Amino acid sequence: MSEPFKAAVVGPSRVGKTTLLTAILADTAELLAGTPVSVALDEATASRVRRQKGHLRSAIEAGEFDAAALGGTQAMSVYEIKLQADGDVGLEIPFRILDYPGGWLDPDMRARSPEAGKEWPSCEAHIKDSIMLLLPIDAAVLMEASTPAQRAAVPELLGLVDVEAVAERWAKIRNQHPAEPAVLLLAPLKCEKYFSDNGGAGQEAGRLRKLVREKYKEVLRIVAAECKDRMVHVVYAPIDTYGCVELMEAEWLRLGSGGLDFRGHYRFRGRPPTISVKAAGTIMQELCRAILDTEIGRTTESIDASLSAYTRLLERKAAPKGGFLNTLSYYLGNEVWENRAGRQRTQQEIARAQRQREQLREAVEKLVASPSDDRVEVW
Amino acid sequence: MRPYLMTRGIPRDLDYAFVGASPADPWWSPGGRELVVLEEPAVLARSAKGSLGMLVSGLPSSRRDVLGTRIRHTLVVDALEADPALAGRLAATALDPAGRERLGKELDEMLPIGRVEAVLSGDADGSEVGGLLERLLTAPGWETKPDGKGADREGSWAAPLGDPGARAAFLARVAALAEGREGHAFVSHSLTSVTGAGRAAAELPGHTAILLADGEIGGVVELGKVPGAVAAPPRRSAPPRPVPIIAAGSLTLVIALAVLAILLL
Repeated sequence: MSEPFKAAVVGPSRVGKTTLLTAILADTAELLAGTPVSVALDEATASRVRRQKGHLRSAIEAGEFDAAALGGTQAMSVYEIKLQADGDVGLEIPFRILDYPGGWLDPDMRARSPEAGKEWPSCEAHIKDSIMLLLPIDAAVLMEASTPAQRAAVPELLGLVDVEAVAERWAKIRNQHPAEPAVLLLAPLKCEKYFSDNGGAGQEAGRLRKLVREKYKEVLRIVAAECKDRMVHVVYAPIDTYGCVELMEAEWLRLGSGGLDFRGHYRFRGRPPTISVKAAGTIMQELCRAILDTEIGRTTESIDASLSAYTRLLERKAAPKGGFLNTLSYYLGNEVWENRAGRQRTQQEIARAQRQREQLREAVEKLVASPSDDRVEVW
Repeated sequence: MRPYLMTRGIPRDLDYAFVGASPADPWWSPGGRELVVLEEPAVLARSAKGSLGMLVSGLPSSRRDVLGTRIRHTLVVDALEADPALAGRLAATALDPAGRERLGKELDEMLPIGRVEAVLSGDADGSEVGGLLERLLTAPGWETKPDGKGADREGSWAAPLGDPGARAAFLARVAALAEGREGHAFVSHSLTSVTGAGRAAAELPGHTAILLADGEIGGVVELGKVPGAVAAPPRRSAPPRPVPIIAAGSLTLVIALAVLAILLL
């Protein structure tokens, strides 16, 4: 298998990163519907997604959405996702997405956790190698802060200082590899209340965009400043991870330290509620757009190289060795039959591999060419 | 023994971390691999080089974080080899939902939330936490006692968590680890197949017993140490090879040519 393309999710704890992953997979599967390419997960990722879906199904059955039922991530998780051509040749485009506890962004927290201390270097290496830096943003925190004290609490709740530090490190490395893609994706989550295009009646898309621009201005500035020698593709994608869940009440809680924290109270909309993920496929679409030329080229070269080497080898084997007795033994013995059968089999395998490669290319191109969600903007 | 507690505070920024001292080595995630999902109710025992460590995750607290999510405690106990009976009690408690609730409640009472938050925020050093945990674990009342009726199975194996016989064998394996046998025993929420369990066992030293909380496994399955040996894919049968029509004649011709060559020479 070729080395996976890497993406890193960088955001504070409890923003909904695992839910986002489930939504990405659901939306990507929809975009790939009707193609002979599917999304495949490794066992641990599949299990995590299944648990997440199980929680949601129970909530739908109960008719009550309880955001609190979804626990935060306590340890680092690596999600292995592949776009895989159906068939037995094993053509695939692998992605590796890293998710780690939001608290690890804080150096003090890392100092108190042996796991964070041990794993952080590999987290950092992954972030630096990532072609995409995905920043999930709690839209409710941004949009529901109305008093000066609430607005003052927003940077802390979004973990902006840590996000900026990680973005700076990522951009610095990306600048040193101008031939590789670099995508910065800002993804406000829990957006259902603010849009009217997915079953809601909100008219606040413009205000959300403005607030994200304002609060992440420094992140964008840092990335632009660090990437002087290259282009960074900056995408804004407000995502509905459920589509059928809406914020009903925003509660600002006074903490013992004097600061404020935010708790949203949500409810299902529609009876029965129907999950309607929106714009999450953008993430896989942008990843594929970034790697399309590189990966298809890489797969093509690798298949062509191995197939031509194989064919050459077979051609050599197909011809009799020199010398009368060798030739005689070649034609009169079983070797000629073995080679002929082998060649036929190999030709079939070559044809199948080429067919699947074309299917994989077409499906990825289709995914990339699918019209972007109306909410999505390139900044 | 050296016990440690991982938990969190109520505010968002006081995320899951060890309160006070931390284990020197996160042995429960060898090479960054997720043997147990810490968010789920699980138990892991590891015996290596004469040392026994145990981890019990997902112990329910009565506290909730700022979003209203129920907080979970994770208990790690290192250097447990001196008290094999405690290892058995910990494992039995971890597999018993009522025992987990009981232990979670005891941990809540032992360390009030104010104290947890003071240590996690750096306002207190938490040097007393280890001693408090040791006192709690050596006192009676919190534990589910293992009945000791199960028999350990040979080698590495995987079984569904819901199978009472497998749970008893698991407790017997933990007892064997506590007596010094090298290996691992754990409850997994991320492995779901025999192949995955076999691969995990192959990557770990010693023999491994795995209880799968979820997945396709129907009963107790022995796991080989080589991944390929666990569930070797069926070999594709080779297409029938045609019998060469001239094969029989060819032998005659070779003999004739050989005779001719001898005559000519």
